Amino acid sequence: MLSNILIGLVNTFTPINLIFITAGLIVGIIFGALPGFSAVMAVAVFVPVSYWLKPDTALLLLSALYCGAIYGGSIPAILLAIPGTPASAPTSFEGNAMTKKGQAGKALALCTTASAFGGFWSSIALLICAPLLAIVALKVGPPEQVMLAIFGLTVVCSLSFGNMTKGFLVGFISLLIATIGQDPVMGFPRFTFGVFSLTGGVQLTPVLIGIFSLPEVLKMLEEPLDKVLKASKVGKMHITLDEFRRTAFTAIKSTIIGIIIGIIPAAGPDVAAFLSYGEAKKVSKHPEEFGHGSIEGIVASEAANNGCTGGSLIPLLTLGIPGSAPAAVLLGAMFLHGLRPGPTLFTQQTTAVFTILVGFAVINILMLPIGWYFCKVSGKIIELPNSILATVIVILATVGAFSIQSSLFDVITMYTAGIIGYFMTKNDFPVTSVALALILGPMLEESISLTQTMFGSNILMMFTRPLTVLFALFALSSLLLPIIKNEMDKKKLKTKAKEAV
Amino acid sequence: MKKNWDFISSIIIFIILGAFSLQLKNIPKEAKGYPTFMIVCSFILAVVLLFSSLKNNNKESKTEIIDKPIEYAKRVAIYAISIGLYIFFMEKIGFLLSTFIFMAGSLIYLKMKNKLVIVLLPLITTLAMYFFFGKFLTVMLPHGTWIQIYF
Repeated sequence: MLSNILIGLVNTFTPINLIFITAGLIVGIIFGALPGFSAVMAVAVFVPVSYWLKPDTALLLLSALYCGAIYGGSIPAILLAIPGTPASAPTSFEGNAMTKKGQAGKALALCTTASAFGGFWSSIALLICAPLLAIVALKVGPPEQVMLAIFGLTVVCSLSFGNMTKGFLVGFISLLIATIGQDPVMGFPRFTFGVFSLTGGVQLTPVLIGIFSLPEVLKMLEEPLDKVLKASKVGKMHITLDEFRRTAFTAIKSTIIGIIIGIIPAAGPDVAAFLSYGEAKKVSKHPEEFGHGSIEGIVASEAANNGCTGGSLIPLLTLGIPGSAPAAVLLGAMFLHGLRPGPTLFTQQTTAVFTILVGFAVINILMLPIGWYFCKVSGKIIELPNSILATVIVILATVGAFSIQSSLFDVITMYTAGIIGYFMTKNDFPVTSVALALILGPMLEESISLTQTMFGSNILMMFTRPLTVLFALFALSSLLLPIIKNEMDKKKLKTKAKEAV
Repeated sequence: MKKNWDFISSIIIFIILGAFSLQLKNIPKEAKGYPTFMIVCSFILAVVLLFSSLKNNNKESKTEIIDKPIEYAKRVAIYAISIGLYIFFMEKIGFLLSTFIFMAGSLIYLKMKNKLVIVLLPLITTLAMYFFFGKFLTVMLPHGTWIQIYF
């Protein structure tokens, strides 16, 4: 194994591979930072380009694009409240709140460090225990996915910020909206209201762009006009030792969550980011900071979504099962280069595989300086007066929504989501629950249908599977803990009030 | 004068749920179990919200917008409508013209005084977006049906 790692190191550090890794990271970050362009697109666009390269160089380029795009999505999320990718939606929540406080530099620094940290350790997991972790992937079927989706949805409790009724109401309505379009079993169009464009369902990315960015623009206009003409400050890009200590445990835990979610088929970096964000809030000593610029929130989301990148490659390389959509494109690229993922890959294509594995770690290390520089340059955008910023955000959101599938209907979806999002934020309805439900809704319904097919009327049989029970316990604790904590806090407050009297 | 926006929200939610419920009858039995469950849960929670708003327990749920001066609310409404018009006209007069007009109009409306910025920023941004998205990333940006301007 050690000799294989050394071979991988030597191959990765060839000038040509390093050039393509750097280029892939830069282009990936740009793709991720553009609203509407996802990590899948970044990887897919460059698959034909990779055809002219050696297999290891090609896969390093595509991996760099994948990691760069996942990270890059967080930059506009922090600066402009436009999540570049769905995985950066929770980052947008906390990062933009920090930007408003003049701490954009700190938010970007935390985001870059956490992304590199999560990505690096996921690549180490990929390198050391890929075959071992692949066993877990084999044990995950539709019943586990049902429980995972329910576990993910319990994060709604954490996102509700003190109003559970509104949080759950938004969650259920969003799950209902996620059913618009063809049903997963029969392909029957549902709730299309006679609109043909709704047959394909409500696209996630336009909704996310609209619901996060347009309310911010409209809120800017609520300020007096002299404020609208003023510019914000980026602030210094640095992390203090205290902040580092405070977020270290969150980073480790979120990376582990990211790796595990990455391994599970159908659950990608977006699910990992939300789950990890919710978990971080639950155990945080400063839960009141969440929603108002929590550094733990940013670290949790970023370490998890980048931790997912390496995790999703584990079932891909060892079993040929892609753990996420970009991993599925990578699978296609591997076939194109004559690499057949599966148990024999590690013995028959040792050099190429270990070059990719070691290269993946190098990509995540290089992400730190490249991302840091990128943030310094792009951070200047918020120094523009708000009047320019508001105008540019509208244009970026419009073009971003349109470019997903060259459809004006997506722009209308983005606009509608934005207006609804504005009224939701004004009335304390948590908009993040919408994103979470739209991400998990299709996975939940499809898994329920498949589980029903597996067990027929005896659906409780799903609890004979250990992983299902484990996820069910996680979901139950995730649902009950905030309620218990809330009640305990109330009791404490009452006791204190009595003591004061 | 303060209005209970939670009450209004619940009514709007009931209307939405009603519209979804009406569509249920057109869906085959095999495909409507899951959405029916979501409708029922949403309905129960909307009833809870309605009752709590009637009791007027939650003072925080009242909207902020009515506390702000009416001119800001007007400004928000006008800007939101102008974004809607921009999207509508994008298909009719094309991306280039509609984006330039919207950007220039937006900057004037938001009291940008520098005339050079009002002209140059929309021009440069529109062209940069057009070439980057339209040409480099090959996104088929609208060319317009009434007036066609494209390169």
